[in-house]
Amino acid sequence: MVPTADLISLQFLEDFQESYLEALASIGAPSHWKEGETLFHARSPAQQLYLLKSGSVLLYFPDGRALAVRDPGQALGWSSLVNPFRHTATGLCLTDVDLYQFPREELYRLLQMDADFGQALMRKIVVTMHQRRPYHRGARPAERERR
Amino acid sequence: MYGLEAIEAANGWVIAGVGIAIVYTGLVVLYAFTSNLERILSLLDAGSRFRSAGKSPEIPGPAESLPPSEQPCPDEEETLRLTPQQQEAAVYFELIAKRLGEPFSLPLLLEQAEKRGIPHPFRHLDTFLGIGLIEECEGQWAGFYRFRRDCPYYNPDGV
Repeated sequence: MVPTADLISLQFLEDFQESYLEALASIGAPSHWKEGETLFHARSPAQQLYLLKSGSVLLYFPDGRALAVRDPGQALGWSSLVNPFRHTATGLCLTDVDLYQFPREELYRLLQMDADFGQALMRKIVVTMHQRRPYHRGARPAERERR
Repeated sequence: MYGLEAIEAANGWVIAGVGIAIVYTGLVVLYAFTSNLERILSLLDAGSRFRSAGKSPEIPGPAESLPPSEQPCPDEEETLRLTPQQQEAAVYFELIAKRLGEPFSLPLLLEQAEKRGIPHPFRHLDTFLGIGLIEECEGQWAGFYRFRRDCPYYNPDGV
């Protein structure tokens, strides 16, 4: 359980209704990760959606591309809500990291119960996917040769 | 007199016990010293920085909110600078970046930094991304990075 007030300030949830935030708060849990720890591996099953509370996470893709996620409120693990439910990147903590995590099954239960909530959440997920799309294109030729 | 009797008569057991205790005490002291060596050196460094605080400018803060590609390197007039440990790590990172060739991949950079035993490579990478010393490329190279040797924060000669 996460205090609803903590979620209000997160960029990812900025235009969410209070009832949606309360629902998310009821299934969320805070988690703390140490510098150098791996949150998840590329191609592993995505079980959680994460929202960054503090710290910095490096997302790196199998072709070597990477981006640092460092703004509080950004989402990680969107693959937990999109078929085939496998992470597209590996998440590595560059610093000590605090996250809010939301289990996939619980999120789906909320989506099934409230279509409007589902639409609001998936709209945000699509924006995140679009922002990260340039990073998980196919490997560039030089990179393939190097392997 | 021979054997155990002779050992006992000459206080051999006590002497052996004292010998073992001395050796193990020495090993424990050595272990404590080497395991805390990094902290001791950090304290010494912090002490020397504290003494020269009047001359020394501020240390840059943690990650800024903009992605590295959008962060301009600060003006040369600015007096911010990296700590000696960060400068040292930056020199190593530059050497690794040269070896990898630009643009380079951050996971490869980290892998090489770890192999070479650079302390706290993750934290240092975060700092270098934050100040724009390691900068993301654009266009088709998005997600790959280059080392900005011209970044005013970087002073390899001061290491």
